[in-house]
Amino acid sequence: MASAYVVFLLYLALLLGIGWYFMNRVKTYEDFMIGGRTVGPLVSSFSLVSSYMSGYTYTAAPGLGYKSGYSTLWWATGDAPGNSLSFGVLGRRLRRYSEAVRAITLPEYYEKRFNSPALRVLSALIVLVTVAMYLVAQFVATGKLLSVMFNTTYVIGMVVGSIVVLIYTMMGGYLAVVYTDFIQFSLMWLFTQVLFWTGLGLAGGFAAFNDKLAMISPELIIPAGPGGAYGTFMAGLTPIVLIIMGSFGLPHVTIRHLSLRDSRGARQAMMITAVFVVAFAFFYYLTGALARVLLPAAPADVEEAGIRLWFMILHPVLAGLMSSAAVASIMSTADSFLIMLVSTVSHDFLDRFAMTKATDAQRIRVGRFLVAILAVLAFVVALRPPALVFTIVIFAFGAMALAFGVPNLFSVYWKRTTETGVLACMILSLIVYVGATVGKWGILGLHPFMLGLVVAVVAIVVGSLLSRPPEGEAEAAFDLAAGYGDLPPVVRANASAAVCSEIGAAIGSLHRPDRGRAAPDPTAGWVWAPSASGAGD
Amino acid sequence: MRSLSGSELFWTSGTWLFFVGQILVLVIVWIIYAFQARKEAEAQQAQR
Repeated sequence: MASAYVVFLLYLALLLGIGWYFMNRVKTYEDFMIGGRTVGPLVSSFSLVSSYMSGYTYTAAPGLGYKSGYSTLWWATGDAPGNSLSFGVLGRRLRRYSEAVRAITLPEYYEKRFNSPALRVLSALIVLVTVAMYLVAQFVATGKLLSVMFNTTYVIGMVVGSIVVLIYTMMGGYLAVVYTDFIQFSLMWLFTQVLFWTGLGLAGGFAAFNDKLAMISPELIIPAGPGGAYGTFMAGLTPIVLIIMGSFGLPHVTIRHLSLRDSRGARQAMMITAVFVVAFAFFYYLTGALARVLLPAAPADVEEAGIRLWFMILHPVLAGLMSSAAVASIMSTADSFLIMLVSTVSHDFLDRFAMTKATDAQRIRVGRFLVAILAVLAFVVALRPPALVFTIVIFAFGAMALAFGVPNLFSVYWKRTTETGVLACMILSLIVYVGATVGKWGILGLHPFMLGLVVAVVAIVVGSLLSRPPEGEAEAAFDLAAGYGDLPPVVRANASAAVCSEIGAAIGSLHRPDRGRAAPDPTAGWVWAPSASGAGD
Repeated sequence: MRSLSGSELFWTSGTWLFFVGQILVLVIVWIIYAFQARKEAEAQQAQR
């Protein structure tokens, strides 16, 4: 156990070192919030996956595997397509769009995409409520995990974990978050492989593992699972769709698209993510099934199954590293939520409505101050967490996937999408989702999330068609985002310096040779026409 | 009637399809990757 402690403390020191390293490299407000859009595809990919996976990877997921065997793979199936396609299908266009309209947060993107301050306020409020619940839950998970692993108290575990996250996020901002996430996912991936393959070897190989699992219960082998829980088409489809839509909607995930170095990086990140997640997602669920076969006695709480397995089969040093990976999975989510909350409060409320003339240095100072305040608030709530905190978190996941997933996809793929459509989508889908969950409506036998998804799609289509279509600059910006190749130099240059209205004017003066004469070809090269103010390339 | 072993159950119940699904994901991602790479190359050429 002593060596596990040492390894874990060294790991925490490494995270703090990364925060200190990036503190000196944060020069501008955009650096602090989205890393100055300089993050490469590999780091973006690992960062997205680690912040998406969270503490669930080492607690709830093996717990599900322990209880339900192979049928938990209905949940794992959506991870690889969701995480990877969020880069290639959504991220590529979102990256171009956000640069063209100079948006560094999702609410700001909505405001500028639909020319709607109301959408910015509504989406920022949804982010604040849902992400704050998530942050508290991550601090709770840190406390629980550390207290089980190192036989300490919940409060000490939480204090250690949350202080480390707080310090490195405050120092290095977004860049510290993504680079620590990169290391954290590397650890998570590597040690999940070690745990899974070692466990499979101890079980006697794949065939022997299946035989032993079937001897406990044949239902642990079949896709329908114990009690036929996944025995219908919709029961199997719902977790897959939920997980995929989460990748398209969670704001701490989509911010990884905005911070990419360029839109080509999204394509590369998609491929990297697919390869690494395919070789990861099934394994961390199935470690729970391995624990069912290998553990001599059932754990008091099935969510401890994965942790008990690694302390049973791994060398103490490896177990220490595994512990680090587990805490890493939580920290990487907590830090993402923290920076997301800060960007929402600082950028979408203060900068937008109060500190409109503040300098970059002042904004960074406010950002760091807010990190501390929000972390302390979350910490205080986590000291006495609400009884249903994880139920609330699972609920919040679905809410974010609905409120942002559908509008994100429509905003970059359907030019006709309007402010009215998005507002209707967000409000109606959330009302139906909350109502169906709390009131147990059970319409057509659909899960509340699937019901919300149907309402979200119908609302955004009908609301958009019933309102005035977008025109002018909005159309030009859409075409620019949908296209390929480099953004016009003037757009890129202005995106780093100009205010929104200037960018709007720049986009407005962009035209293509075929505009108004032939069907638009999104791959055609853009031609820059100097604007009346003399700006040009 | 003899009950099936775990290995037999794995293959007969269709559980193996979960793994095929992941391979399919890799194939789909590769197709999208190749498509986007081609479009990028065409756009670069047009911009030159």
